[in-house]
Amino acid sequence: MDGNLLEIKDLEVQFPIKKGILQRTVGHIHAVDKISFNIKECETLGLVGESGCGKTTTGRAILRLNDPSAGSVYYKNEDLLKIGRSDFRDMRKNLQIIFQDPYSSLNPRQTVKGLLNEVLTVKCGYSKAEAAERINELLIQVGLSPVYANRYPHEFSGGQRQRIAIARALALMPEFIVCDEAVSALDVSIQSQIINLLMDLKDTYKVTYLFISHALNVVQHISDRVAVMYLGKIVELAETEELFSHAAHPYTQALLSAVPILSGHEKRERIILKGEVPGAAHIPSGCRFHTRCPMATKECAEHEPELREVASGHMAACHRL
Amino acid sequence: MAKENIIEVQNLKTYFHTPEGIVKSVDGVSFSIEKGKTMALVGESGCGKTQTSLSLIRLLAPTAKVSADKIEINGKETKDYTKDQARGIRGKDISMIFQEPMTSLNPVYRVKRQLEEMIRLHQPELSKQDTYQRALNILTRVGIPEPQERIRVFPHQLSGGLRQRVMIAIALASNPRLLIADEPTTALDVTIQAQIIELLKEIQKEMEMSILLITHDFGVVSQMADTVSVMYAGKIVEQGSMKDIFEDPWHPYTRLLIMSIPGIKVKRGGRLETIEGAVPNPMNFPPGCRFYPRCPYAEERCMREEPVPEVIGGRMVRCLKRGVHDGR
Repeated sequence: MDGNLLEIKDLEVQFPIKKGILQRTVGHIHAVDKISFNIKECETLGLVGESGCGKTTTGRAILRLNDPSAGSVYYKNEDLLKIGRSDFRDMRKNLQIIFQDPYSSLNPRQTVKGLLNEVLTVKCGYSKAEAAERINELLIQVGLSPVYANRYPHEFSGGQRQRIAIARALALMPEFIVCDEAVSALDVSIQSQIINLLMDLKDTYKVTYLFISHALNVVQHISDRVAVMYLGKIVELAETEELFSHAAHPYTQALLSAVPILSGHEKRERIILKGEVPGAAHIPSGCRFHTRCPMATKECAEHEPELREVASGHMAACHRL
Repeated sequence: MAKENIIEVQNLKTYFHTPEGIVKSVDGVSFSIEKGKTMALVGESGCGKTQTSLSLIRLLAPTAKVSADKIEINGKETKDYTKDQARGIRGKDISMIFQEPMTSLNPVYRVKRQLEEMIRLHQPELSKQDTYQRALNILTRVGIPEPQERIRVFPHQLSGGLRQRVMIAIALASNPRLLIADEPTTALDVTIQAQIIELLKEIQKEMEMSILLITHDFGVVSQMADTVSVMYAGKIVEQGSMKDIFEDPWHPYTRLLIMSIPGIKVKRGGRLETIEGAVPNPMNFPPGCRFYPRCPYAEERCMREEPVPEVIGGRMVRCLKRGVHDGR
């Protein structure tokens, strides 16, 4: 696997469209459409795109929280999508997820201690005493005082709740964590604390992240490589520095130019895209982006471009390159 | 006359009287906005920025008490306005757009009815046909494709970006002098966000309208604002031109806020600044400087003395230790 922790091949997720009284399936939404990429050991792969582009679905599909309709996810030479449920459950210890909304991802009726205790005793077979010790350790790791262990989620602020969610993900010493918009719901000052925490944990425990976010400045800060998605396809993938300085795909260029520069005077040429993302139920023919692309030609409407290497380690899917 | 201020606010206080005590959401806020300019009011959640704007148009909960030395809007002193008089400010002088367009549009009425209602209120002399025509014109102006079709749909049939455009259309229908934009782009994707910012700037130029932009997103601030007021715990702690605030923030809070955002001053993968602790409880503010419990530069004096606003070179700062953090 030469340094790859996960290899994702032709991953495809479809959701049925149901209509009528009998709820017959009349079609499918291709949320994720045959995408392939690798995640290297100890790296942070950023996954960006606008709402509805399939980035969250991709993250969930890797952990089988959505059922992918085709494709494979290789983890340690085993296809996660093919192994049986109970085997997968054992495997899931190593693969965790942190959700966007710390208000809805924690059980409101469980104390922090109960929440972590469940994970530790059921999944890892800790005894009660061992678990109690580990809970203290975990809380300190994520920057919370162990005296909070007996409190309920509603007694914490948003940032503290996200720390609890991180503690829960860390409890099993995972190798891989999907961060699905993990800092998006937080105020900037709290957001920076959580970003620092995630980066510290990566250094200490060699965790690999798939960092899903629409906030490009955050992704730029935290990621080693970045993949850009548009309507269920990866349109560009490159090292962070390369992507942010030499974006090849017109969509990436537009996306980057839409991000405001944070300074008092610099103004940048902005590419303002026309229109909005077409729904995943009405995917345009040819290149999916041609309806909004400022450089589209006739060819773009007819043939779908393949993701190919345009520079060393830099992949993009566009006819114009 | 050199500068014409559309709005001038002095010492605005909005207190909520609750059974548990008095919540001082806005506690002595002063600012003014020139004609055709944009002021951004920036701060973390719960700092009182939205309550400040709602105080101007009197859309507050009944428990709120507003007092001020001056709230002059478009040349009229409005601080002692009654409820009925205050209704006159809304729409004609000030319009507002909100963060979540889905919750601020009425889901059971079509766009046509909601937009025409606003036009009819402010231009009752127009005939039915003229009202409809004007509605179409406004929709075209805010960049809605196929307005004849879109005017007949319900809000849920529109995408987020189009809904925000409809909101803007309704807000503009009355030709306001001041537009309050409360987190206008927070719920939108970046490419749509760029479209909406561009649209607001165009319309502002065309109508010579002033904008009070309320946001926690410094990116949007840098795109739109002429001046910036940074709010913390019910008070404005720093005020100045956008360039001054970004290039050389004087208040430690402003500085930490800017340094905590990835991609500005901190290099990739480096440590971001953080602000420890949380915004203080508005029922029980700390004595002295309200920021001292979280301020890395605080000293014993900050705990006792409340900093007074200092005005130097056209900008205001409220800090006893101004300039300490950057070695001056």
